[in-house]
Amino acid sequence: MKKALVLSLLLWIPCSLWALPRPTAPKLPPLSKQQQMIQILNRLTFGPRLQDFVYIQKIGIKPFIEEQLYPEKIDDSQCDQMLTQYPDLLESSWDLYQKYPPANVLIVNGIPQKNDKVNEEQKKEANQRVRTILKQMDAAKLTRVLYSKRQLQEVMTDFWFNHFNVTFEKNRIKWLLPGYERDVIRVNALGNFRDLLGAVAHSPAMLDYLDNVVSTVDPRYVSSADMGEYPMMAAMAKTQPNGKPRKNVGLNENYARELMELHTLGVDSGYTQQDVIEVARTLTGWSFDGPNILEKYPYNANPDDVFRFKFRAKMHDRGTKTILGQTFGPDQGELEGEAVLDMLCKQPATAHFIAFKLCRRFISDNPPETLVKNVAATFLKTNGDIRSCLRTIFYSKEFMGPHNYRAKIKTPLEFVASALRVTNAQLTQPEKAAQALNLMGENLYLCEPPTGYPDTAAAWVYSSALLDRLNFGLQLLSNRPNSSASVDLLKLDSDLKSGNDGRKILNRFFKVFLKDQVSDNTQKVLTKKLSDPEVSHTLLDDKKKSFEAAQLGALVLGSPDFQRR
Amino acid sequence: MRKKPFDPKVSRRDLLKFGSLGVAGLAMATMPKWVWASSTLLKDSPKILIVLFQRGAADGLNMVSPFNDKYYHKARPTIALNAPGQDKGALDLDGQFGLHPALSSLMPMWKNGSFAIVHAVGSPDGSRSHFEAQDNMETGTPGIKITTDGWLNRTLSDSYSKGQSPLTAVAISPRLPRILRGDYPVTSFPNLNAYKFSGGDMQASSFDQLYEGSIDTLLSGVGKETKDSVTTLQKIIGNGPKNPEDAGFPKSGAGRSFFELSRVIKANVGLRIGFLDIGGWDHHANEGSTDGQLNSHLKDLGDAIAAFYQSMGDQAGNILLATMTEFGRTMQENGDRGTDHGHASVMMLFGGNVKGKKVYGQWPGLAPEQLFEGRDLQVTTDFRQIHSEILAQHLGVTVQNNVFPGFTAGVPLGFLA
Repeated sequence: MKKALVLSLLLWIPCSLWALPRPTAPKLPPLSKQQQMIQILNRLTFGPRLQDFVYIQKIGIKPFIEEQLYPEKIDDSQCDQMLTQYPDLLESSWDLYQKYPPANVLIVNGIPQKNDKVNEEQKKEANQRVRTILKQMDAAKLTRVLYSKRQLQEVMTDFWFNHFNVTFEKNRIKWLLPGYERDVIRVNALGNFRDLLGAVAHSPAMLDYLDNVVSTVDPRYVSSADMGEYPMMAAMAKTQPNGKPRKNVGLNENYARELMELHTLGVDSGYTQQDVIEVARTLTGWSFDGPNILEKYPYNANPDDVFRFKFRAKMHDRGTKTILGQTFGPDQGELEGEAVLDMLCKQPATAHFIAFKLCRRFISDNPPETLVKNVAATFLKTNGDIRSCLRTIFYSKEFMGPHNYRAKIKTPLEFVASALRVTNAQLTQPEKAAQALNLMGENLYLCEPPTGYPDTAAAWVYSSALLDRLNFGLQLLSNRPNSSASVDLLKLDSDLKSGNDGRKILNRFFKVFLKDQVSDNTQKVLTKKLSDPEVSHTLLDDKKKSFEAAQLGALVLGSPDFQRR
Repeated sequence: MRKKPFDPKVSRRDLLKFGSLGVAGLAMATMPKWVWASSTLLKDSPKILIVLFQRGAADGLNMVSPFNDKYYHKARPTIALNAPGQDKGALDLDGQFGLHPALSSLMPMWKNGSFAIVHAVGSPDGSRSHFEAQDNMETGTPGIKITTDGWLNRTLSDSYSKGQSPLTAVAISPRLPRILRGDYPVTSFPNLNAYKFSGGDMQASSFDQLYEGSIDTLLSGVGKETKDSVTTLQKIIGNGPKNPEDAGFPKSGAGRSFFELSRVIKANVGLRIGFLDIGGWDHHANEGSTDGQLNSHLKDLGDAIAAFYQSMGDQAGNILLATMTEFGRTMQENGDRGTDHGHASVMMLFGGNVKGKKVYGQWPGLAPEQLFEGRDLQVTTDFRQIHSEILAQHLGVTVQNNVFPGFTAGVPLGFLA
């Protein structure tokens, strides 16, 4: 079995430097039952814990997959109980805004009022206060990846959040973030792609992040005669004596472009710059109201409308649009945008792009094209049913193919989560884990570009990143005061006791952390360390050596073997 | 306002502490041989290239504005920069172009001739996708997607022996940027304070052995001499300032990046190529003129560059800094005092043997018929042309075909002495 692993590692030269042709893969023996379970737990969860093996052994692989595909049927009350520590996550965006208003806003009787007399100190304080939301988001995410029984749901929530990335820092997203993850991403994570895409398109978080909230009918794309049909826009665009318009009006292409490039069709799938403009035109008016409506329209505005999607007909370009050869409008208002989303979801390019990204997450950095095509076919046949696509992946021969066994390098989040899970750690200071992730390059909820974080090894593998991982393991196992979690090695395995025979401890670590899937080099290097005085303390009186278990375990977590899933 | 200017006394003292004498002062037995190799190299004043990527597509037309151009003002009624001399006007460079006033701390370098500009630079590929255009510029093979390594790494592989120093090339970045990926060992970190082993010597040596000896094709080799490089760097920077502000750098992301880079250079551990990732230039809304996002980003960038060159002191002439960005932005402002994805942008070049005080490149003009696809600034200088000149003339390496495969450099722009 070990030989099989070594071989598979040797031959797994995916996108190796320079575009070397992939060597024809020699036949490897099929995965053993144990390896199949490891594969399932590595891919459907944030990393196996000891009890997960017991469980999957008991119920079997297929029932385990099916159970994970229906998270709502899994009792997760224990994790839910832990999440009650983070009450902000359940609140509406407007409630959060009232709780943590910006420095220059005072909330008087539920109405926000401008307060321009603020100093730098107060601004800083307000900024600090609102970061409570981020801290709670971080802590809740780590709690879920560590303790939730609905692991696949969390894997997919992470996947879709990254696919439809937004960042805490931009504009008003800080107040919108809990609702975005909760009501837009997580509820649709295993549902229908069209529903998910629609929920994103209507979400204030995405409308703000990619600037569609301010995109309006644009005089550049409407004949001057027709511009008369938009009196409000015309009034806004009117030039003042100083030669500048009273207020800017016009198209913003940001969301329209990323909608096609990153969310649906994928780059280079045949759409043009003109298509970007036309999609942006159909989406003009897709917007939302901010808290200022309560001050502006005290009699008509309803607090429930704050941070809610709103179609602004007066900002919407009513003309005819042509996208990928199809006609939309004229004068269909909000329905035009819906029709565009429908059309995008039906494109084979979208099916292929989503299938490819799913396969890259669940199979390997360069997933086999035959499988991608099968998943894309499922996507089209089921009108974007995510669960069905996942089934196609999980029950494919490629999924259990020996070449794809442990073929993925963990991202920083996957590393931290799997280390916490395999050690049965108690998360005591989640903010420390978030800091460690920041250092490793995966700052939670703070990825600035719309591409999200990379899901391939090349971006994450270099010396200082792996050094950070080694340090994280040491901090965790030696229970240092600044560690994010506490670990009880003895409870994990009674043989993991400092002072025990070194070889025995090391073997137990291989068993517990790596299920004995250890490469020869790691075995050799760590065995040699048993005679290192830092690991073994020579006691003068009885000449017996006592061993530092935490040090040894940390090296196993930091080894190349633990970086794969 | 700039933070306190860099104190030249500190600079001299630091040089003593960090420089070759400092290295020689450390116990010889603890020094890996590459430190000796690199410290002896100091005598011939090694040339260093720093590449800075403005991720998000920076607006070249407002960084270096054609302030006389009527089309420029017509297309940007609310965000065009005023002409020099007017309220918050651009800083006159040559009567045709003006520097964004937020970059005023770079004017001394312009005036003393160590700052040059190339306008209308970009990639021949017309992609307006951030990641695709960044890939094009980092792989150095625009339009070809199968290239997985970066052109800086290929340059290293061609011209620098691998054993010289594990810190020959360093990115100040939280992830390994594509431009540096490839066969040549490189590393990347956002903050030097955390680039250390928290355990003992045993932990450090295990790391090297675990990763150097691994047969895992993706992971092997990353541990090569990491232990040595970490311990050496930590020893050398140990007594120096730990924070940008203490070393005369502005308190900003850019300030932090340049500070970290300055520490690596001053440690004199063999750095030849440095890479900086500065994000946040995608200004679809509230880009503004001198009152928006671009203004504050440029202020941070300009102040950091100025502080960096000040801290480099006498070495500045050996360090060439080149900025780049994936594409420029639309000439026309959009409805939100911002700009959308465009084509050509601008490059700034500092230090080294730059023949400054000049805007290089052919100006394509902004009349409707002169625009790329009827809307954006045309590319008249391929980014590879500039880098080919820098590699050959600044680093003195022979630029082989595989650095920019399929590209033949044209007549030199001649921005290097």
